[in-house]
Amino acid sequence: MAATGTEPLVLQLLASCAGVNVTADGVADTTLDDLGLDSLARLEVVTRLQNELGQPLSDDLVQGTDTPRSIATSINAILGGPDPQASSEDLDLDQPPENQPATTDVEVHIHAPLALTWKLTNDLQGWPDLFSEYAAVDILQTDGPTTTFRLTTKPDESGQQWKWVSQRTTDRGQQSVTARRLEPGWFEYMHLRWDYTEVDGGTLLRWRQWFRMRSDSPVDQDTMTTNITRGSHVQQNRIKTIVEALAATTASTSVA
Amino acid sequence: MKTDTAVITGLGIVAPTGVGVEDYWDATLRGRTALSRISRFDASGYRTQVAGTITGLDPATQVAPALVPQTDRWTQLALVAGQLALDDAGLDPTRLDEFAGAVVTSSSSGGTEFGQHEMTRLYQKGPGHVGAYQSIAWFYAATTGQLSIRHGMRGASGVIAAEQAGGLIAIDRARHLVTGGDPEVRVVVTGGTDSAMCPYALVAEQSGGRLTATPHPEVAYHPFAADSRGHVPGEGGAIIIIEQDGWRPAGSADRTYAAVLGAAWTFDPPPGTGRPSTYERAIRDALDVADVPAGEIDAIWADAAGSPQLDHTEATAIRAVFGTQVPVTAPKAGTGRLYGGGASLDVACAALAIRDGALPPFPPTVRPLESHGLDFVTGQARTQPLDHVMVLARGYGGFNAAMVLASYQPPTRTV
Repeated sequence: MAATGTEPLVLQLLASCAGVNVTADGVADTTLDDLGLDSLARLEVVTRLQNELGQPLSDDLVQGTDTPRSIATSINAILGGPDPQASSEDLDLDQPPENQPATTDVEVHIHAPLALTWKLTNDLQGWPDLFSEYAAVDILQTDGPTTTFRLTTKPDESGQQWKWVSQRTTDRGQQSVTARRLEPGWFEYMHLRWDYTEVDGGTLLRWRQWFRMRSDSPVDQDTMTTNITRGSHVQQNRIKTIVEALAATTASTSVA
Repeated sequence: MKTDTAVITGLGIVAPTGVGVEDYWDATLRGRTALSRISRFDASGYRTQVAGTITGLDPATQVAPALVPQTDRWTQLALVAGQLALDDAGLDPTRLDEFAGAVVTSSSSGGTEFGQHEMTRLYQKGPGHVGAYQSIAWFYAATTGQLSIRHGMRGASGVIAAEQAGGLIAIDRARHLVTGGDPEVRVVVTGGTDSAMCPYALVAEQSGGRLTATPHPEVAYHPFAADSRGHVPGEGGAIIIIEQDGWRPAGSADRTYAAVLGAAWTFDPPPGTGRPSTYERAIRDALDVADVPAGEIDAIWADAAGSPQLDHTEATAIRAVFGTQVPVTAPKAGTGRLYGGGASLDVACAALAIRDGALPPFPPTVRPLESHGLDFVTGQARTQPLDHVMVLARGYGGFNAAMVLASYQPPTRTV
């Protein structure tokens, strides 16, 4: 599928399903709410997308805050085509190059079995409870170990909620997870890797991120690196507390 | 509690013989017929190949683009007619309290063409191919709902499904609402349309056994005539604005066509029981409700079913109540039967007749039998004052309805 992928199809369906004038300026980056689509119209778009693509799609794929472009990006990811906004650099996450512009590397030692830690931290539906920063996780597509999903943050200090679509692949044998943002936002790209290692009867959870900020981003790379590092520590400590508490409950229950 | 009078202040007409009040009225007074061979699809394999279709208007180009994919043609015709009617009444619904306006339409079969399209997808491709809009486009209340949303009218609304009798019942429901039936409603968008112009609709209608079998438009629908063969379907109808007389501070009286005095409806006993039709009783009840003696009815719009037995039943009922002298007309012989839209179009026609003191004729190709013993209006339109008229309608399955309209008398002011 071409770089712009399904965007023409999405626009065509918005015209036929909802009467949107898709020749107007900026339609591709206008939210469906602003284009006047109600929930039924969005459902109709999903139905016709499924018919056209011969691919089952989640109703969550098309939300009021989505734009034609973000929908096309999600679909392209599901179809396995290239992400039109992704970096052209195809990173090998097992051996990340040394010259990444920005990296973060944060780890935490959780006094809980690896199996439990793995289970809890890879349960995407549970992320809004596990992380303090996410308001919602919408699973858009599951294909074996690979999941395409939308993250919605809780409102920041200015009340802004951020949303983006990511795709992650778990490898239980390697005890690792790789992920990347399909909707990079202010990032040129954002790739992540989680590693789980058994240490002293507990689990060492290591998060690494590789990214580059867009030149027009309001936040520079150094600031973002600091923010991500600080935020990762906060989240890892929170996860440590939750997982260890659950491990204790599980242990005492099994003893009883 | 009965307050004031219900008046007709706006007409939105979408008929095979004309779109808009004046085009339709001019054609109707001339006895024009708009029946033709069905061309929207290949009807050669069907019992009926003749219909009254609207050719001068593509409703899809007249409604908001977002509404086109989620509405059947029947609803689109009503949206066009609804705007015409509101404009005709000089009403801007955005200036109304949202509960002062209501919508009550008649629907005979819902969005058949839309439904056929989606059902074809269902059985050819599977449930995943049925569009989301099927849920709102094909059921009876779709038109009422879309009109209500379009115009922000949220007062007590509804839909009447009683085939061709439904229009009279809907309009009478509107009368009821604005004359004390609802404490808030002052204006009702009512009437109805239909567009059962697809193979699925035609097959359903054929099963009723009342459709004509001739492929020749000029002889296909001759009610009360020696060569009657049944009826032909038609599309369109009328959206009518009913208001409580005098609720608007100024101006409404200038636009008032007629008053709606009342209506009644009955249901026939099942076929084969030997019990007589209750049509005559509906007529008498309507006169009682309207408090108008039979002798004061100046003209009748007949249901004009087009088959010998049904026409005989109607002529007998009319003679029993009115004798042989009252003029009887059926301009619908030029449009076909419009089902959910038919009686509403007849009410619009009767309102225009009252306004102009002009009684439109049967189309010239129809020669009603003298043996019915009625004063059929044939040839030229008649010019005569019309103070009270009756509109009759029957719906397949046993519905009978009658409505009395009157010329509008502005209330005398006490200084």
